[in-house]
Amino acid sequence: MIFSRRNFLKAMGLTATTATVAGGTTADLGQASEDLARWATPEDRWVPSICQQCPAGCGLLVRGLDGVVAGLRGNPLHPVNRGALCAKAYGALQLVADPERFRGPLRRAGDRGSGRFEPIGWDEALDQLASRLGELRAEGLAHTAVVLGGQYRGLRDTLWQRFARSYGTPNYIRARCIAPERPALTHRLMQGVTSPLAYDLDRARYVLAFGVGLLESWISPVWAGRAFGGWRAGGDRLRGTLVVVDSRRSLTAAAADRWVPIRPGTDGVLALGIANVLLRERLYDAAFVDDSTAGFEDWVDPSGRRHRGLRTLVLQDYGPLAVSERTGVPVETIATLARELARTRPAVVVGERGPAFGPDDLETRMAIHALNALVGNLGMEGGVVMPGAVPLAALPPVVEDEVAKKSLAQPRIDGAGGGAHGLATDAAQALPARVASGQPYPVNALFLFATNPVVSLPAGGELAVALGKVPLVVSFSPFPDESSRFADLILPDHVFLERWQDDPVTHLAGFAAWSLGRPATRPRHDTRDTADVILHLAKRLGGSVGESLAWEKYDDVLYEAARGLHEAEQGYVVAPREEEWVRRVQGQQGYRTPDFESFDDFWDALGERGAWWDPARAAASRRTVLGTSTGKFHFFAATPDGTIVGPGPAPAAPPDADAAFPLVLSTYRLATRPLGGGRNQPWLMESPAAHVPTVAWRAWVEIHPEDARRSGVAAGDEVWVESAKGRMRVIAKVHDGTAPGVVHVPMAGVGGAQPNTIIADVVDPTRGLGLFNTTRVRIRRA
Amino acid sequence: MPLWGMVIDLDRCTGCQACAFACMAENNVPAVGPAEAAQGRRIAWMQILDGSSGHGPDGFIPRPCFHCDDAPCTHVCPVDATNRTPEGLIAQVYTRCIGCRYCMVACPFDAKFFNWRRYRMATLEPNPDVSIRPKGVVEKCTFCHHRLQRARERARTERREMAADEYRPACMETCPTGAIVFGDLSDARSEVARLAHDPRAFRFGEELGTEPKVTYLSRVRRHA
Amino acid sequence: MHDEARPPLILSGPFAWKEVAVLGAMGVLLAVGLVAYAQQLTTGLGVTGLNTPAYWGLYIVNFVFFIGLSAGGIIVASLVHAFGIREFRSVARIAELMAISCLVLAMMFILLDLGRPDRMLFLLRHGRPQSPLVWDVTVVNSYLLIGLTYAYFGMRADLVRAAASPSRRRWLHRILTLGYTDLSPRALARDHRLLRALAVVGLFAAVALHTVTAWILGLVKARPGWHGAIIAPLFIVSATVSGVALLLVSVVFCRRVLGLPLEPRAVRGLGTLLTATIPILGYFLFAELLTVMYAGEPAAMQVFNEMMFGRYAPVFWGNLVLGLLVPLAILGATLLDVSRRIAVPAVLLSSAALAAGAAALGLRVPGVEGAPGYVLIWAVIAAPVLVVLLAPMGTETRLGVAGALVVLGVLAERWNIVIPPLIGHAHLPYPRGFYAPSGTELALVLGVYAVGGLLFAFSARFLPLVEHE
Repeated sequence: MIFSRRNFLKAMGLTATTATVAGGTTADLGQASEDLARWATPEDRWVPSICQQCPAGCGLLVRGLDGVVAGLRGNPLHPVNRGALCAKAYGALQLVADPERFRGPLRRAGDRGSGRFEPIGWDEALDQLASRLGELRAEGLAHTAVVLGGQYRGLRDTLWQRFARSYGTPNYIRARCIAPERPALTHRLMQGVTSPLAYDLDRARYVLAFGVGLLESWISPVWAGRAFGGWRAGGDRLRGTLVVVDSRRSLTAAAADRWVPIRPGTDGVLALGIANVLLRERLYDAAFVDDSTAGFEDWVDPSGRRHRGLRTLVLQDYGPLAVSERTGVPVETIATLARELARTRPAVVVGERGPAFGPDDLETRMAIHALNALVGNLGMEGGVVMPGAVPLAALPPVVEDEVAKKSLAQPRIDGAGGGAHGLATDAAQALPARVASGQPYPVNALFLFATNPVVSLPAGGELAVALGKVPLVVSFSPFPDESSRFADLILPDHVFLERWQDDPVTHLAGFAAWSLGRPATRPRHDTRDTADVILHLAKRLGGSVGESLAWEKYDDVLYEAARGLHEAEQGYVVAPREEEWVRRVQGQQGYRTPDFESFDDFWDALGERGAWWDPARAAASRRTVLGTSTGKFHFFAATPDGTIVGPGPAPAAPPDADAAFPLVLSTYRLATRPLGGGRNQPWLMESPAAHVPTVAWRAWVEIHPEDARRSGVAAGDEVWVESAKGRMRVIAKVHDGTAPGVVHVPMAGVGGAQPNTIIADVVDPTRGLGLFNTTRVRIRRA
Repeated sequence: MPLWGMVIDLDRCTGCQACAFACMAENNVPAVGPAEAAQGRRIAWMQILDGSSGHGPDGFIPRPCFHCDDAPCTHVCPVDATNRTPEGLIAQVYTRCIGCRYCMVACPFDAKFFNWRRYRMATLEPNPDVSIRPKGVVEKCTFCHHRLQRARERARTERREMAADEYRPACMETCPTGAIVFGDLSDARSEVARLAHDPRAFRFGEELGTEPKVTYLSRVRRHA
Repeated sequence: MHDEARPPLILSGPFAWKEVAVLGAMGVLLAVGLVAYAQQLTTGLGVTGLNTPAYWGLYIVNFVFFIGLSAGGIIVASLVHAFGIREFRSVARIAELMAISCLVLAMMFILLDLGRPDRMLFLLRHGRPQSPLVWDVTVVNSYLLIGLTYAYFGMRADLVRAAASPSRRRWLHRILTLGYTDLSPRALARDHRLLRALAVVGLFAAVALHTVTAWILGLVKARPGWHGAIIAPLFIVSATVSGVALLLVSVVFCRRVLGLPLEPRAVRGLGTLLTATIPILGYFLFAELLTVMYAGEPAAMQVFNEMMFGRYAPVFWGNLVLGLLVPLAILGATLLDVSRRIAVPAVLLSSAALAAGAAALGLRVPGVEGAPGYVLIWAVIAAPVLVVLLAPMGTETRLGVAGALVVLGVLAERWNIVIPPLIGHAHLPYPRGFYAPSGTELALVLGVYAVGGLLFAFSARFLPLVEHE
């Protein structure tokens, strides 16, 4: 027995108790001393970690009591959240304790999908997997191994990329709604940037958000919430204004200064209507538009075709009356929004997630983003800014041998980056059909990491069937879920509080940060960090794969990469406010004192405090945010296949009213739903949202009173939401925060109600996911 | 003697429920499960009420225990299981409570909750600073009283006075928008005292004369 | 005065089949109740339908109800000795027994309602004198003491006689005399004086008992519908009504099922008393209703809307019609010996007038629109009266049925007092509450009723319950 502090105290406790308490049974005494040692003097530490309940990357402090998780709070030093946390974060405490977690690696024992598994040793499992992967590679079929990853970023993602490349598969596919560490497609096309842009919310004084759940579910609700708190601060600070355009009165819309209800899918039209007022009343930033934009005036493309510029387009087609007609927004509101937007500085327009999710998604987003150019906030404080980069040390280059090179040249199985999905980086929604058809080639191995595609993709049902054609399915899920049920091999990952973590934050407000999380608790079961498993697998595969992933364990990778931070002449390990303030003053005067003698000291401090950051935001500069070939902002852009895309709704007409399915289904994300849906987190399940106080552990549908009356549905009724594809049973929430003709359902439903089961199996051409807001449905009482 | 109180800025509140969940985690408040929740037995020391869904003011209202200075619950308790500490906190003594629920009935703000069964915590370890409630007793928000005790102990071991900002309830700590301000109402210079006299300030149930120590701020004057 | 040679009236013959059936049914209910109690003890109050904000439910409803019945019983019993009302002399002990049984039941209900019954004695050890609940515990216990003393002195002479009789159960009576044997006229006269004094004290105690119980609710400012001055007097009146009604039922039961030789004039007397008190209760209810409706304060209106037109509307209207109007009509017609030829058209006409009144006030039966709704109202009022009046049953049974209806009506009224204020209004925007008792809860309540029934039935069989003239 190792003589630890705890054992020592236990012994002390026992002696003391025996000495002082005469009487009682020895069993009592044993228990009493146990309790004494346990409760009076446990090893009580707060360990920094990173929240993985959503992609925001908030810093956590996890309370470890003798190495067991006993509490959670926001890391007060962390630049993203400064001690604040959202509702989801606390669910992590229950995630660790989930009694259903896999206790170790498993091998399929019954038929595929039967859910019968038998335990297997880690070594045996990895040997089997490595030999199968080795065979595939030897047969020249490396490209038929597919890795499907969910929402995560940082070096874990890097390891998978390195694995895929060195092994030789182009099919490392990500299934997620937003990719915060990558530039948005709109920004890529219009500004030519290669890294994500940020909205400088906390310094903006006027924020116009199109369908973005800024305060509840977008990239970082805590960060946005802190900015919002700043807008609402009294005293000498100018009050910020938040205007939300949304068909649903979301939490964000309810908290905003103004909610502009809009007919769903017409956000782009409204944006161009606002542009119309800006142009007609000469409120736009003419200097910026004249100097730094292209496509504002009519133009001729190299082939000699004439194109209407933004000015002509907007003035001809988007007069306020017509726009009001299409969007349902009153003319005065359109004019007011335009005037406020132009006259309040700094103002910023946000419209990345959710406004459409329709076929004209890209055009809508471009229309919204065009407003940022018209008010000239690009690269300006409080506008759209380019954050600094995180100076991690470069890892050694990936080794691609001949086998890898050959199979990497194969087309992607999901078709992303070519053809119909030319603009998409991933097209997970297209995967099931491809797997089922075996086109362009059959899939021989499928890895599922941090994703549950059978449920999280609208085409999940199709995938469940298609999986029957894949000879080897490997799941890394720590919990039983619908997808791991179909696996041949389950190699359970740690839950995130149990593993090393890293997270680059470059998309929030111009600062760059890199968080490091240490394991806050010892692994509860015989699970392994998947990052370690990749390394173990690579070692077994050997050759170029082994060479490309030549680390023993994941924290070695982190250690190596973090050296770059120490050596970079910028930023520092987060510290209490006073210390940071001193540093900022020093920085302004041009000094920089190194914090730590050695990299090991730096590393230790990083592990104690949880993050490195560079608060010096990129200087307000228009040049940094315009990376196009011309150095200008492009209102119109050419896609790889030569088509011109630009602001506006797509030529395709909106779907006609359908008598059988009179309502449009629109989905949204809840402030309380973590990645993975959170069904193993009872707190989150029990109080899903404040506006549905009587709903617990269930899903609901929000319906306008008028539509409810027409469907014969009353508040609180059990109802079926039916689409041509399927149906789900939910509770009716009748309220006026819903536009007529639309029903809203939260994503990642619970209680057996999962919106993806009724969302049509259509692939969003630019995002590669489903079209979450266009399926037609009807409601009827259950 | 400090008088602990809270100010909640409804203009900043987004209804995100972070405070409610922070409270649950901090105070070992269990999820009661689907069957019990369907019966209306959820326990929420800090609860976000939706003013737009029924009568009362619009918007979201985070409701902790108001720690009324003249608390009706303490008047009716037959066994002194709920009482007012000298610093104005309304305490609930789980080992004394007989479970008659008279205090719940007497609370105009329905801020008290009952353990209808023995509910289980679905975490690995509960917060060791807060006791787990057995079935059959009443519980409610304590303004994270254990944090006050901890801060006091820490100050005492370091041989100094405890500063008021060392004692912060979990809900205040987690609020992303900074809508919750906590502190010593008896100190006129404290932020909480200043805000409590803000022109936007109002209290719920003023007409009942219970003198709540939780004040709300709203640009739109609301009436309860 | 008493004839010393005359043996006390104690039932001796074998159990009648009716009695056995009643006792058996009670036994079964008790057994089910015990199982339910075991469940509640192990699981907690979660087995009930209680929740937030219906913190109190059927247990408290019954607690208040039985306190009321008890107070009503004592008021009748006291009338006999305090004011020498001879009419009720033969039923005085039954009233007393009923009062004590009901008090015991009320205490059982309080115990059932506690989340931690194991800490029951904290009420004595740590009792806070500021709490109305502590006042109530004090008054209930004091009253129980007074009641038992009163019963003892009232029955002592008969118990002494019974202990001296050759009955097989004389051991029981000997124990109950507590060793007393004096039957001299002087002792009897002393007992009588004592009884008279106790009766006066008891009368006050009964008023105190129900007043304090009313205050448990009435002093809570958080709940409009409870909070108010009228609740205490209202409770006294409804206690009297329900107590008299239950006594009437008990007396009829004792005469018809057990065959106790109780004087028939007591039955008529109780009927008359009931007929006189029901309108007073109606008056109080009307006064409260009018005050609330006229003022139209939103909080109180929410509570009254919940009570009159909400989910518990059937309880309110059921009480009004079946608990007050119908029994009043039955009592009136029976006691006045109105002939059928007059009674039937009178009932039809007056109930039609009431239905018309409902139409004029714009009241509607949910689900039944227009004229059929008012026909329904008419039928609901008229039919039960006519059924009871025309059915082949004796006058006494008819009075008993009316009494039973009144008892149930007062139970409904207790529900209306306790439940709607809890769920009808909240000072903050909470979702609307709901309460429905669970099966376990109902089983437990019935089990407690069975305890009361058994207590009463056995006492009626083994104790000298009839006071001689």
